[in-house]
Amino acid sequence: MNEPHWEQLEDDWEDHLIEYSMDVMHPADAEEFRRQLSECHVHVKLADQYMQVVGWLGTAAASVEPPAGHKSRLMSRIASTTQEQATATAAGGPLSAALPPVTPITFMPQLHPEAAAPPQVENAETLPYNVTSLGEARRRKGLSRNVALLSSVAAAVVILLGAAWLYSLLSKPYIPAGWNTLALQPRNGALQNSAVVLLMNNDRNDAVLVAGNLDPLPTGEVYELWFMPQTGVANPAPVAAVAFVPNAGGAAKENVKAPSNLSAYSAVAVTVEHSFVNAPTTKPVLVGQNTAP
Amino acid sequence: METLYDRYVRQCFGLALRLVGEPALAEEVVQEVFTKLWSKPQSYSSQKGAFVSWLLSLVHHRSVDELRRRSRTEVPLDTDEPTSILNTTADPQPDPGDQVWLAEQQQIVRQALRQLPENQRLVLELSYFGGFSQSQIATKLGQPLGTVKTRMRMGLQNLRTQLEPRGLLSD
Repeated sequence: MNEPHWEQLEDDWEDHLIEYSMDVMHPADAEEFRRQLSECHVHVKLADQYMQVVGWLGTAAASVEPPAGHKSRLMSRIASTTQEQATATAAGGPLSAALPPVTPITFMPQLHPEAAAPPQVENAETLPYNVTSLGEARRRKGLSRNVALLSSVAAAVVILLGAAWLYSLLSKPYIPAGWNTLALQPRNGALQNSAVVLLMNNDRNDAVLVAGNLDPLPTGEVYELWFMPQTGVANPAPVAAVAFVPNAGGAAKENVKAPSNLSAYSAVAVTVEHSFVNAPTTKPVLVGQNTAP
Repeated sequence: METLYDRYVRQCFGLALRLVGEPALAEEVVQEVFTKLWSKPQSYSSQKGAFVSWLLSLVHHRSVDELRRRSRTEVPLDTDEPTSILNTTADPQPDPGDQVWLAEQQQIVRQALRQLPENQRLVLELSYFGGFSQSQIATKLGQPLGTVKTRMRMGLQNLRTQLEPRGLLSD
């Protein structure tokens, strides 16, 4: 049986899903909808897609700097907050693949037969802990200590893995498929503290230049981005892309349409010009090698 | 957590402020979201899509919850006429490095919204940023409920069509 696609969703169910995704459904109805959703894996997948689209709507809101002290207050709050232990069998969680599978306790194998069946109690009313003998009580107490020790170790592992997972989210910025990044490096002693990146989409010949910590320019002068053709082409001259001026904070962002296939250019460069020109008049202050396929 | 905060807090706070309308309340919403993220890091999985969209979903949900808790069923609006989210200023100072893609994502989503028919964008904005249910939107706009439902369905499907080729949606 084929899985239903977006276009095949029943309208009523889809309308409910929309309201659920938009958080405008009554909480009690939302709880019931969530329960029904959890019982149908086919609709769960479609609902995930729907909620992803809705989730992106949040990025359309303007970014705003929070009030002073917000970060320090949050860090203080977090410092007194414990992290929940992740169960190793939790499906789809980021830690589920990293955690080792749960294995039975094997260092006290003699307990396994007892664990499979309830203990035989001669007189449950006089044995408050429902054990058959003092020896059994001692074994269970030892098991409790071992379980507590194992839980502490597991908690430490979970915390470390949680930190590693959080770090992994930060080790690379999220770059969607089809896009490559090209970092431009300072040249000729200029812009040593700058951070300039060109995001390129070879399929669409689109690019976005994002820069920070650029030195301010004298009035009238501009930075200009160039595409450098590969060696051996008929016309090896640099191709002018865009002129830009950083803001007061040294940041700049420009959308760039490449004149032809981006993969035809071996490098990009930035020069300082008196205005937008068709041929560079100064040495580059930034250069990046295009290693994208 | 500090780096996650530095990377995403401005978008989170901006969305919360847009929804609840009060800086102090928005601040509390963002604090609770990040605290929850810290206490339950396993609550996110790649199956839920991009981390930033999932995080902003938490902010949206918490903001709406907070408004309900304070017995407000609708997000406060400055005027009777809703202000399109596209009329607000996008982040004017994109930061490079880690913030590179966040600024581009905002541009992509705003562009996708611009390309929607006006009537579809309006109902989506009223619902997501205004907190209105479909029936409330129908009443507010003086339109049949069925029309509002159809426009919301078409709007979201059109958005999906635009966002999917950009790699913003995971399978």
